[in-house]
Amino acid sequence: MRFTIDRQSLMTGLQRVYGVVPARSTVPVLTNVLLNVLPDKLEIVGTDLEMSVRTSVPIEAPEAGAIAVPARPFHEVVRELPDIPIEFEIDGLQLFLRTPQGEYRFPGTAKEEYPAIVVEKSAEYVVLPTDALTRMVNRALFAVSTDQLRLALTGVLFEFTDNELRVVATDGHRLSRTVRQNVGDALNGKKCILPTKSLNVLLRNTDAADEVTLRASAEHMVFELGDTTIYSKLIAAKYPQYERTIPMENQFRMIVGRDDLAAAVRRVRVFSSVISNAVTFKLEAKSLEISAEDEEYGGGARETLTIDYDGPELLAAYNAQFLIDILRHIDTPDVIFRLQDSQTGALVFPSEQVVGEEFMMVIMPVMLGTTATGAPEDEAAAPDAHYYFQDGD
Amino acid sequence: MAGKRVILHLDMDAFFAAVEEMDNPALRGKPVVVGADPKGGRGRGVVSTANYEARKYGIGSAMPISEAYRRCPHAVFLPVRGSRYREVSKQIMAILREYTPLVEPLSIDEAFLDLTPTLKLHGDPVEVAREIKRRIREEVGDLTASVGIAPNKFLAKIASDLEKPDGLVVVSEDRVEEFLWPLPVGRLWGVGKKTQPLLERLGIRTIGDLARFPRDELVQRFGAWGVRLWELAHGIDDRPVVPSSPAKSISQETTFEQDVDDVELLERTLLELVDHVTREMRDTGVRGRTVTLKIRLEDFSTFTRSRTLSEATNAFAPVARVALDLFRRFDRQGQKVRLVGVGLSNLERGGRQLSLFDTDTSEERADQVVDLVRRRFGEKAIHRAAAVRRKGDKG
Repeated sequence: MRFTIDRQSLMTGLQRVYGVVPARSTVPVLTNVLLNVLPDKLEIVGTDLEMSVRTSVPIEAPEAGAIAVPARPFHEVVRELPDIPIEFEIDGLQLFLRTPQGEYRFPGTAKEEYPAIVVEKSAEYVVLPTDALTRMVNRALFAVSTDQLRLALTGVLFEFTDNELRVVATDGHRLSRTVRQNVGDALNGKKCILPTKSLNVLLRNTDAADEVTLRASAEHMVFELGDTTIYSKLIAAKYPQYERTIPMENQFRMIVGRDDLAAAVRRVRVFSSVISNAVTFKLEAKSLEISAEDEEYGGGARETLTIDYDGPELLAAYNAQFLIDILRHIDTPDVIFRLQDSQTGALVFPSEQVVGEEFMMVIMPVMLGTTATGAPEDEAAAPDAHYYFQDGD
Repeated sequence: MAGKRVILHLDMDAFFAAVEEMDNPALRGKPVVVGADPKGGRGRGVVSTANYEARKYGIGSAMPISEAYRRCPHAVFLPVRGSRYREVSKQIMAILREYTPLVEPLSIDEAFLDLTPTLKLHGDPVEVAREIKRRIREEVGDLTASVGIAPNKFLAKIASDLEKPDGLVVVSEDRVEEFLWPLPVGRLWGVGKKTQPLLERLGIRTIGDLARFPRDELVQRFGAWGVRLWELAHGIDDRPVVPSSPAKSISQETTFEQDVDDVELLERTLLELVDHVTREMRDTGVRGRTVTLKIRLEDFSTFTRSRTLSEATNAFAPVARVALDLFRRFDRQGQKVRLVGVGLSNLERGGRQLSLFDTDTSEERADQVVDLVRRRFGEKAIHRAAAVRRKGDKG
């Protein structure tokens, strides 16, 4: 069974799948890609059992056939070939690629030994513009937690409700939420937590189509982008009730230039403690003073920005890295903060929203001062040594 | 180590018990035992410190509390008040640091001082020692310390122990042999139950015997350790006094009197340790990100298992969850457990990052209440339900 395939389209198809294939696995067959030859298309499939990608490249083949081949050498050869037609032949458990100059032989595995993608696929679906989904996912990924003890927070929540899709991520210190309206009610009530790996693979495939079809079932979410389909298992955990942690009732509004604020925070943070990484905001009617004191070496910095602010004098400290991360996801020249006090999270918005979308972030403050948790009357000094409760004599 | 050094070792006398007597003068003259609850002789823990009155009954550190109770049932048995002792210790260490920056705390109640760089400033080390002892009594409270002054750490530590309590022993360089050689070989660091019989079989009973023993033969029998033994016997010890940096980790461990197989008892002990460690961290305003479980099995093989959290904590509940999980995943291969320990490292100090989810704060609030109750009504006023020994339990 042989046919000819254009190298460029083979490479494009392979790239869509390659990111999923594990480099090493306790299940060796997973380091393969499955090549499924149908009369009019070559299907390429990769999986790590948690997620799978299936894509196809148009061909004309005289008969059907299938083989799984090691992904890495196959990918490397195709990548290095020039853009010419390639002869493709499956002979038993071997795959041959031939060009006018050369022949490349890959040892294969039977299709039957490659895990089948088993996904219960909902008949209901929602269609989104690919660029909207890309934007929503990009805004969420940075806020995801790495704490394996809070499994739910290691993923991004896709919540379908009231004809809206809400894409949410939080690690408990910051939160990102984008609400997109009028996505239809087909998936209303579904709450899916997607692993970051699946979303990163999704982001690598957004050029595959202008629209994405989303399907959801109890254990999977499926993204269909033209000829490419991404299947992802969901994180089996309950996402915390994040809604009530968002301090929507914050009263005081500050508007400040995004770039000015980011640059000032980057300069002042040089003097912040390595550990809390905190810079202090002091807000007054027209000014924001950002400061940090280096308690270890005695240095310090303060910078004042002109702002638009309608609240009383307010003091609050924030992790500088979190601020910078948040400002990086603001795509308008101005950023709006809504604040309350030194212990309540700050709401952060772009000064202008994309039509039909509402994007919001929350950053939790660092507690001012060094008072220890649970020991307010004690001085919070470092212990003198590593003590055991057993004195010598 | 170039040049002569003047090293001072200070060791507080019966420290925990002395602090208790200082805080409650009515205890003076009575035998006082600080440690586990004796429970009328059925207690399972050990003695932390006995005062000198109690030592007359043969009670000493690390003795089973039941044994101490048997020897002196009318003694005053008190619980360990770790945060109070740390507070007093901090005051003492602060006094020591006025005499040299080179202060190396060895534990809560002893420290090495290298007086060499500040000799000209403070003068005669013996006068410095007297002044330190006097200032501790005047500024901290009615506590005595024993001090050893010598050319190195090893000799200073032996010297401080010679005339306890309230001792002051100086070992000058030219009298090292006279001082050291008559002492039993067991006084050497690292010579304990295992090495001592081996040495005695070679006819080595005193440090002098060891010093006269051919060095090469020691090396043959004990390797590098033999070299170290021989050097110590000649009063040679080049280790510098290393000033303490802030603690890198905080931990607690318990050795069981008898090896334990009972999972429930092990887990409960673990939770008690977590309770102690997180309490200490809250007292000192430190939080940790990495939780480490330590287990020693009956064959003395020792294992540690760690997990790092996404955020630092000093709350009981999250540390307890991780410690229990690490313990439950650990395969003892059917062996009993000799020791368990819990520690936190990756420590953070200073401003605390607040969290969106109040699961954290409610757990912290619970800790605050526990701490407050204990500070006001004593250590035993309140217990973690999970760490409570139930009535039916043995021991």
